[in-house]
Amino acid sequence: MARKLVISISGKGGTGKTTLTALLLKWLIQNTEEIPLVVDADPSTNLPDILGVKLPRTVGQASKEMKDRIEARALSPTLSKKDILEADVFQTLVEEERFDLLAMGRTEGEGCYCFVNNVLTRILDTLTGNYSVTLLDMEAGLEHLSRRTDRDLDAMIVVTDPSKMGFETARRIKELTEEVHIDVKDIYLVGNRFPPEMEGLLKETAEELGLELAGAIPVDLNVMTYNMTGKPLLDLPEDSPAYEAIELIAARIGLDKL
Amino acid sequence: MSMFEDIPVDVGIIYEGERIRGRDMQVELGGPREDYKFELVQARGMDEIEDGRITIIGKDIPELEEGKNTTFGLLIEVAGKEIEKDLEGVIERRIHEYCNFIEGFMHLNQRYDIQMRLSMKSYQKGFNSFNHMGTVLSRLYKTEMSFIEKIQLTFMTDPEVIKEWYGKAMEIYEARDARARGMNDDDVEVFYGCSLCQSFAPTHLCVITPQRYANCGAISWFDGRATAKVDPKGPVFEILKGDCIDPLTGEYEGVDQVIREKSLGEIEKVQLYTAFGYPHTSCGCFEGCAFFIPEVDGYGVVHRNYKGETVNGLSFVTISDLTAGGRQVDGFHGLSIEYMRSPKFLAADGGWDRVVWMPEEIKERIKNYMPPEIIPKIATENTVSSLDELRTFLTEKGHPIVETWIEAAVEAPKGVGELAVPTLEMPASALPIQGIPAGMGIRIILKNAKIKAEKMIIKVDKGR
Repeated sequence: MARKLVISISGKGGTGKTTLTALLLKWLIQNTEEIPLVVDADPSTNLPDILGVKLPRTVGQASKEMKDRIEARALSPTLSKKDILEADVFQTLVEEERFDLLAMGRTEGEGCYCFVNNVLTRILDTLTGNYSVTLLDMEAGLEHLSRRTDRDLDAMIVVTDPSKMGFETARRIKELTEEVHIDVKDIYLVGNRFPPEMEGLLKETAEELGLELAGAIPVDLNVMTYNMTGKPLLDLPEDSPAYEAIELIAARIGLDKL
Repeated sequence: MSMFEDIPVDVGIIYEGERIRGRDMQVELGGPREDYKFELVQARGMDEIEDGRITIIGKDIPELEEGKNTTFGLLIEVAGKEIEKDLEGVIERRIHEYCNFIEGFMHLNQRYDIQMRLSMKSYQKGFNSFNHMGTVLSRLYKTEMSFIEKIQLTFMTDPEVIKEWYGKAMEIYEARDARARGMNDDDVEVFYGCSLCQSFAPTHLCVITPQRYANCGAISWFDGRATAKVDPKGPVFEILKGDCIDPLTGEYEGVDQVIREKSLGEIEKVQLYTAFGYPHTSCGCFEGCAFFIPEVDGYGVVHRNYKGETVNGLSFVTISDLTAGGRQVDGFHGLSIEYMRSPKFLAADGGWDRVVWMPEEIKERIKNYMPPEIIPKIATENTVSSLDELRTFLTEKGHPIVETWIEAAVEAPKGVGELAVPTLEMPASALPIQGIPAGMGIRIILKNAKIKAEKMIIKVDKGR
């Protein structure tokens, strides 16, 4: 089978993880034959909106329903819960023409999700195994690292805006990744909303942090207008400065070799 | 696989986990858009079926609308000298596995919830009839399950025939589930262990038996079997139960051995149906907790969602803190709601005859599984709010526990303001005793101790 790329996009809240995910997806759609899987792993589930996809039922909702059915004793005692949840998760998958989307949402309610989550991990591994490229739009901050939701990655992209806090989060993400032994081949830094005059500073800071710089996305009026008016970023004009910057980033992280 | 030379596509384990996108599929059999779908295995007499026979009732694959879903039924009839009714479920379960071995074929879920997709690619390669599917299934069955001597398959896409069979199938599934619910711990040789919670309760291991669900309420014996099969070295694994040491308390040689191993020697043994002596340990995410109320010599049971105070003034959080973390604490016992429906529920301690209080919500939920005569005799937060009221309630209702008080009252008159501590366990290392070398691993267990102290003074030995 062909090589499979699993790439996560993380960083401080508000730095543009979801925007970068959408732009990378747009690049993949326009430059390759691949059908990528995009996973919205952020509990606030913004990615469907930005991609112009109707908000799907989330995996979290499926897990919650599973829990409820267990409690209500509505499941057959002999059926495997893994099989039921597996079919359920597959049915939350949104199949668009050029990509599939899975929204994780969040698990609500009390009680123990150990078993459900354990089963879920295997279900998701199986699912991602079907795609040559998977983009994971992670939740802000570091929590997902300690929970090891993003394990066995080919690349991790950390997004930062021009702020000390953005870089600080990037540094901590790198440290924590090493600490909790997440198996990731490459960690890249991408600067978002960096005017050309600041790119030098971005490069210097990346070097100080020991992170490989994959590129910088400039401030882009189109992106801002689309995000504000709720137009899907996939429809962004190709001469938008942000999209033009993606070309280089995609090449740096190896998407051009798919 | 040479066994499948005449099949137009590959067949093998590497295709397991393959997903077919809606846009790439030739046809979807069953699935969420279809009301009527099922797969069913039935055991038949040796002369009732014809080995290798494949029947298609309704349209075959090429006649089905491309890219669309269809109502679908699959009936597999098997015969063999060793085949009993009980095996039907086990054989049926393999449909999922075997279908997924087919290149470009996806099978999800089971019974009346199946969803299958055949890819356009495999269809174009020539996998264009249910006859192919039937051939693959019957060969795999006969190779992998040698006790199947004859196998006959019927594929259905005719809505009328499916509807008729669907009704029959539902009845069969229900009867099968009823049998499973009645399954006994004595009926099996294997229990399952779950160590998922060891990340926060390192000495905890759930022992999952047909009559004792995991504490979280999510893992039945059947889930244990399914999970352990997929990943035998994973957190859910087989426990050969071994010889039964004590049928009343539920102690098994094999269980004790695994517990010692998995708790790194911390837990010596476990008795499954009791909250005293060597109770099953409690993780942290148990659905409910039984707690001993020494004042009435009975148990209260409280569940996680109960926000109020128990009859003796405790909250679920307090109770759970007393026992969580993989410890054996006498009189405090983390459990699942499902275990409360089991005939083995606290069986060694007197079962339901020993339960005196529980929240209304949980009582309502499980009352169909409680002995009917005890239901009105168990108090709730709506009927009593103190131990005194509880005592009166139990006496008035004639709860079976009341009879035992009379005998006990003679020897143990009630003290005032005493602190009842069901068990105090002290690690030997904290208590240097002359003549006993360090690391000897002794334990001092004070059972049902009632301690009254004006003051506690701890002095450091300056000689050290």
